[in-house]
Amino acid sequence: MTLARIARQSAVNSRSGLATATLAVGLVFTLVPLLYLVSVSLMDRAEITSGIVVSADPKWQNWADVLAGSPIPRAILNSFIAAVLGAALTLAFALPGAWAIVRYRTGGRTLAATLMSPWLLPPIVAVIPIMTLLRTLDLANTLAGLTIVYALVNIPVAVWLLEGFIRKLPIEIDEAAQLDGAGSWRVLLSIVTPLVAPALVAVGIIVAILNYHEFLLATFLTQSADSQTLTVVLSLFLGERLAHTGKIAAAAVIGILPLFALATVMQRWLVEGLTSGSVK
Amino acid sequence: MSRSPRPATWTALTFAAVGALALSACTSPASGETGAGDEELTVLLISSHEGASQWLKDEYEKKTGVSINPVIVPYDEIGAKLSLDQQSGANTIDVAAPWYVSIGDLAADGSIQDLSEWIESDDEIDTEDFIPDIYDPYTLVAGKRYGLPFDGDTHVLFYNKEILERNGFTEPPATWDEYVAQAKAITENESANGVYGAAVFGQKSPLILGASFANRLAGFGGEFVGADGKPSINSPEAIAAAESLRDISEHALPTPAETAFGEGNAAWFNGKVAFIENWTDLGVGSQDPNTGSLVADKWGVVTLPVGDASVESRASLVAGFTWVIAGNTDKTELAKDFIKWASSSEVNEALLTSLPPTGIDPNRVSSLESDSYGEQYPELQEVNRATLSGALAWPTGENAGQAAQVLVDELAKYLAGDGTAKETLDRVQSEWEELLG
Amino acid sequence: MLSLLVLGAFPLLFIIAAALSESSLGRPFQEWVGADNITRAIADTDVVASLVRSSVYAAGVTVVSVTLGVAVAVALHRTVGAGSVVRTLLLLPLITPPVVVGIVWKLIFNPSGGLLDTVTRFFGYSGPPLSLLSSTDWALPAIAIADVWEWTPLVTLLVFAALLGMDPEVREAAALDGAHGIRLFAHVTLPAIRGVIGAVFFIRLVIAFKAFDLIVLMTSGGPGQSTTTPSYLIYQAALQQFDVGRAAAITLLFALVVTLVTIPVAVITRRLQQ
Repeated sequence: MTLARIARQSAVNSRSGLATATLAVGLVFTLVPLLYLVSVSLMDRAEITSGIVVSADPKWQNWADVLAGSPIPRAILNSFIAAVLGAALTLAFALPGAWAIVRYRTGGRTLAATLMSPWLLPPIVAVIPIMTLLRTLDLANTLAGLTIVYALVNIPVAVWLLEGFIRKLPIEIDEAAQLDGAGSWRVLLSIVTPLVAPALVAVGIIVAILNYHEFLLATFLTQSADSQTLTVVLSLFLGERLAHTGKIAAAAVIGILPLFALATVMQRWLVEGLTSGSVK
Repeated sequence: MSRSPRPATWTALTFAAVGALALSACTSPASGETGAGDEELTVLLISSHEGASQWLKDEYEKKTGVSINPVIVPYDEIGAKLSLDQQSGANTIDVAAPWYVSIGDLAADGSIQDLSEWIESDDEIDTEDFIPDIYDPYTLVAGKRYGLPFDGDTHVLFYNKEILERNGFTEPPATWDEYVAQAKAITENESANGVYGAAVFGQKSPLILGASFANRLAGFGGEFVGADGKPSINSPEAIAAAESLRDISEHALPTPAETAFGEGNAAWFNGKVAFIENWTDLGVGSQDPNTGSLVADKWGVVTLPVGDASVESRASLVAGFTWVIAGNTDKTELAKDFIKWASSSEVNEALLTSLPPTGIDPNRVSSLESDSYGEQYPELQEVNRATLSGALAWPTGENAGQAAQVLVDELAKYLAGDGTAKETLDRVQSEWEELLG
Repeated sequence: MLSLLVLGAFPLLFIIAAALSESSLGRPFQEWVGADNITRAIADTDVVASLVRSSVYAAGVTVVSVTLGVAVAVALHRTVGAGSVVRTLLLLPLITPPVVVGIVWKLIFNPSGGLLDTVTRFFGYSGPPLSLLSSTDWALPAIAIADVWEWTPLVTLLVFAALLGMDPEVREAAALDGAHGIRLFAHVTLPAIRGVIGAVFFIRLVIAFKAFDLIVLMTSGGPGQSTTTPSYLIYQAALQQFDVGRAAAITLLFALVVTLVTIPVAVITRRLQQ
């Protein structure tokens, strides 16, 4: 459907010079820092402080050191596991929650807003009770523990985002299903879920990105190399007394490459999902 | 909520239960959560000690068959990690090597064990051999011993011989005034080429900016806390130290406020700075081809400058680390055996010269004076002897960490151009009187 | 829902209890001290200054992000030929973790050989090295640039999705009536997506208030106190000084300020959506 619409719009819009210029400036501002990071990742110590933009003799050794002799690859895997499973769990909690709020008018928008409020706070002090919670579940210092915490902290955002999409569904659909004798959870699973699937994917991606980014909780909830995530390992690199900036940059580039590789797919799903019921 | 949406609640709970099960099924068992009888110790260390941890792990396993599980954290998080681990009841940590300034707080929180009796009764520890000016500050709080010294960690002054020669200086500075004068001249002559007189660690952290201040405080003959146990941080010596730090900031590698270990050391290795105050192991790193150092064989090292040429240089114990045993570990005996070994003379001596460099400084007289250290790093041995004749240490009681942070926060404001040194340190003094009593 | 409320409420109750008691990291709730922690925090000029700083920062960063984000989204929407490659590239900062964003911008602003220094020298600048992060005036704006770089794509994404979701006939009709460029945007496009812009403004504001990772990485709150935000103070108090009572008290004060600033935004957003 988007294709047809885009085609129609392009007929209406002549390409505006101002728009193209805006995009060009936006692209430069967006890409220059990333390209510079890649460039620094190929420099040795002397080159970094010598005021050059690109190394004449790229030091791929920095990359090799990070890939072969560092915990970065393992950390990327850990980050992915925690981000994706955490996001899936978040959706599993948030979809029924958002649906209940909309369909049963539970607490109306006020409840959604109240649920949102913990998200406004910096989570620092909450580290202490969260550690205690994880200990009770016997999940302290495990990736599983971190994943569950990620799942919980993002529920408010997910409910808040999903609520807008569910509100747009015509209520007749599930009323009809209920007349047919379908129970609430069956309506939810077999009717509502497929209808909001694109939105679920989009919200899931957003939550997974937030998880992949997370730093503070991960530092305190994971300790061993088996469970440390990318952001934690990068911060350890930064804390080394004999830190090598080129290698840190290489680690950073390698850490974001897998995400960038997925960016094209994610971009399409995000735009489709969000368009399917934009947060109007 | 009167008409509670039961179905949704149950769905949510089912999802949660399934999810939690699936997750716990697909993860490996928690590290360190091994049952009794399993010979394993989990040891918490800062990232700078990662190299040392590898050496300790290998050697201890070879010697005893006990496996060591090192947990590495950033240097400014080790105390919080240990405390949270113990407080939450996770109790995964058995042994840790935190910054010595934090042991008072850790003891007050019940996160570490009082080891006084054991240390007194076990002759093998040979406490006499610990460098006296390190032993007490690193382990003693209110009459009780909480650990054994691990990493001596004093700063000394490194200088780049080539840069000094180019600028006509034949001798490295003996006083902080000479240091500022030489650095100023070098920056004026060579900053157009990216070469500066000094790299000054000025980032707002107790281990970084705090160290730079402590180095000067030692040189001017000041103390953090006077002989009467009262803070003396607004003494004339302390004010002179703060002013000297501000003087050098203008001529240092841009800019001290951004300079942490990484930035400062990178400039040093690249031959871009004439002076840097650093741990003695920077000398080991400067010679190591793996660091990409461009200054091998071009550097010299002296004890820190002083305020007045008639005074002898004093070591400044900026960032030492102490072996402690976690409060709730059930492996106390094993932990004791490990830290006794890890703080012993032969281990310390081996760590001083092992390659790749471990970043460990002498904690014992015997290792400091050992032949192997003297042969490989005669200059470092010479400057490290400063620790034998009086050293400046941070306060270590309860709230000491907070006190260090207060000092650093206020110094950062002063260096950013806010007020005079006296006003700044008067404020610190009044806060310290409240914090340290 | 109940289980969620319990899980959400536990940390919240912990914070409130900690704020009202003498609490250290290892030993919370040693002694009830009433509002002592809170009154001390209010009397602490560094705390108050950080609250003000954070509000100004959040407002500034949000206005800039939303303006740029909407401009790029509209441009994207009009320049259909740009296609998905451009959209993907524009999205990259959003999927870059803040730790990496901090590393990138610290490298750029590095006074010895960073990109900014190198480029300004190339264009003939020859004074002392520019070091934004150690200037009390420029450090916070420098962090704001990194923050804007990171989060503007979120605004672009959400607004762009809303533009795609707009009823095309309305626009077409307006265009046929002779509305073009700015007028078309002001009278047709903007009213249609103002609800989304309001919601995005709200989200962006909250994210800006919570700025923490960038500050830890780029300045540690310095020089002086010039980039110390409440989040950073809370981190210092709780995890470096073990003073959980003070940390919790600052958290509550911060919550109050964030609520006071965001409520009007939320209310306006609701109006715009109706």
